[in-house]
Amino acid sequence: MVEILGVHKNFGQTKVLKGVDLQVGVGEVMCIVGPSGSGKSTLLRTINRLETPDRGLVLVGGEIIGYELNGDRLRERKESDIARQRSKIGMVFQQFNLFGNRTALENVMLGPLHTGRANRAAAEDEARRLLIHVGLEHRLHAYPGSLSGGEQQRVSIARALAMKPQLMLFDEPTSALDPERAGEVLDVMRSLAMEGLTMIVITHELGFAREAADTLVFFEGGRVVESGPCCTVLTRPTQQRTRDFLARVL
Amino acid sequence: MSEWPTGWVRGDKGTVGGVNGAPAEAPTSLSGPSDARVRELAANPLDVQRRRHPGQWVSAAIVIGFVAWLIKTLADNKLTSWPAVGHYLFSPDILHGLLGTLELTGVSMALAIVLGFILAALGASANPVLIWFVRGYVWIFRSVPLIAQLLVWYNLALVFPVLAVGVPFTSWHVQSATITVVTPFMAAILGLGLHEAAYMAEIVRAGLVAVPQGQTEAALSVGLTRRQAIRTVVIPQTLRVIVPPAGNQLVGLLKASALVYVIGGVELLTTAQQIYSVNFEVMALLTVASIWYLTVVSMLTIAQHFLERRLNRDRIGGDRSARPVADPDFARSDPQL
Repeated sequence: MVEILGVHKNFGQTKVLKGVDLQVGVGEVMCIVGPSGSGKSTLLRTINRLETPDRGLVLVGGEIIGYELNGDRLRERKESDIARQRSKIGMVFQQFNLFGNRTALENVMLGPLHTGRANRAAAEDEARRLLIHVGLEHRLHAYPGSLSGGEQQRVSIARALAMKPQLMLFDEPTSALDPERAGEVLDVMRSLAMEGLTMIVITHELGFAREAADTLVFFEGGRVVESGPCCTVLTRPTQQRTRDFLARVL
Repeated sequence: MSEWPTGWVRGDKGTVGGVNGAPAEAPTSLSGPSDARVRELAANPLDVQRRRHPGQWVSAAIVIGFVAWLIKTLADNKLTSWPAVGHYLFSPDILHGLLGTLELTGVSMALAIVLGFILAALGASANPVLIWFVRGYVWIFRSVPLIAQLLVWYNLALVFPVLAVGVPFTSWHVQSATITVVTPFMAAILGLGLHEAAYMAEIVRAGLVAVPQGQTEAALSVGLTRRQAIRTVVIPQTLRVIVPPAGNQLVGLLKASALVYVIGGVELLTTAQQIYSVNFEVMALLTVASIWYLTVVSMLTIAQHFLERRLNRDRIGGDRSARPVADPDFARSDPQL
């Protein structure tokens, strides 16, 4: 489903990603752990092209993100074409990024409505269904400012799901939440994993990783230090650095 | 802030907090001389001898007295002809001038808003040529005095006697004498509108900067193009930042429109001047003009209040179906709320 091939990214002189290769199969859940500033978020953002890699390619569902093949050369895709590619990749941000001037329901409806996926009535029905699904049937008309952090993050998950994505990206979805609110969000994510959605999750919640992840990646300094089946990496890490990190976190 | 949530007591220095409903045999943490007395006071509703503020009464009396004297002096003044004020307030000439002022203000503000958004959008692009163009525009139109700009537009015919529009590299074109195109009204609109647009461009830019980057990214992540994201997500959120300074500009523009007297435009103050230059009722006519300016600005202020309340409804109302916030002014003053 997702192939990350030799991705490099620099911000000015700083090398943030130094050649990353990863694969995620259909229906798999991959958790990425690692210290802050290691480039995890940047990597995730190259997948839906909020960041453009300096070298390397990202493929989602067999399509090269951002480019198309023209003979044996790459050609930049049109803006509308990239938007179409992004619309199949849901993203949940650490800081929620809900549209501040719209209610929960309007937040969830916006994508399907403006990409021409659905008319207003259908978009509203679907948004209502999704918000009920994430346990917010009583907050449909609330503005983000009056929702708790956990509620905001569940709205943002519903907003991403409204586009019926084939892949979901979570960028530290619970880092801005207290443990109880984080639990609400993790419950929703766990049920999505059960339903077979392909997910890439940056998280510090190793408990969630142990339960829901198929593969665990330990990431540091812009590189994959270690990756493999979740239990293996957690219980018998091969790299000393992974051992040190897990020893501190667990 | 008048209402305090129940369960809290607003006190003067040394407020009572803590030990909720502490029993009489509470721990001996209080070590003051009158332990039991303090506990009893804490347990009952606060009964405090408030401090008096006689200075406030004195200063209020002085100000009220001064204002009363001012009003009486003005009302008694035989040289200000109050009947003339009443006579001219609704006279056809004055109303015609008022209409001119409203027209000039409305049309040039509309031009300034549209141009301001376009300039700000160009300035926010990645194209360095566009960015420098916008900076140059703002630099020139904000630096040259408005009165000079009005005169330049009005006297355009001195340097360009004929204006022509045509298709380049063909002979097809339409042309006409500059004087017939740039009428005093047109010169006034160009002068006021283009000058104001420079300010509006900066105000809109501030609005764009105020919307967090995450809003655009979230819009992109659900499949909107950058253009759609700006239009449907970013611009609506800039309005609450733009409206207060734009309201200020509109009031300024209303009054600045009086400057078109230099190019013979028809507006309120010029009309008043023309009338008093004949009948010498100087103060009466200036009063008439002032009353109308006050009236229009008051109406604009009220309209702005309601517009802002609507734009901020997500902050004031929170959940449309839930608790109201007790004091909307308080809620609005804090951007985090």
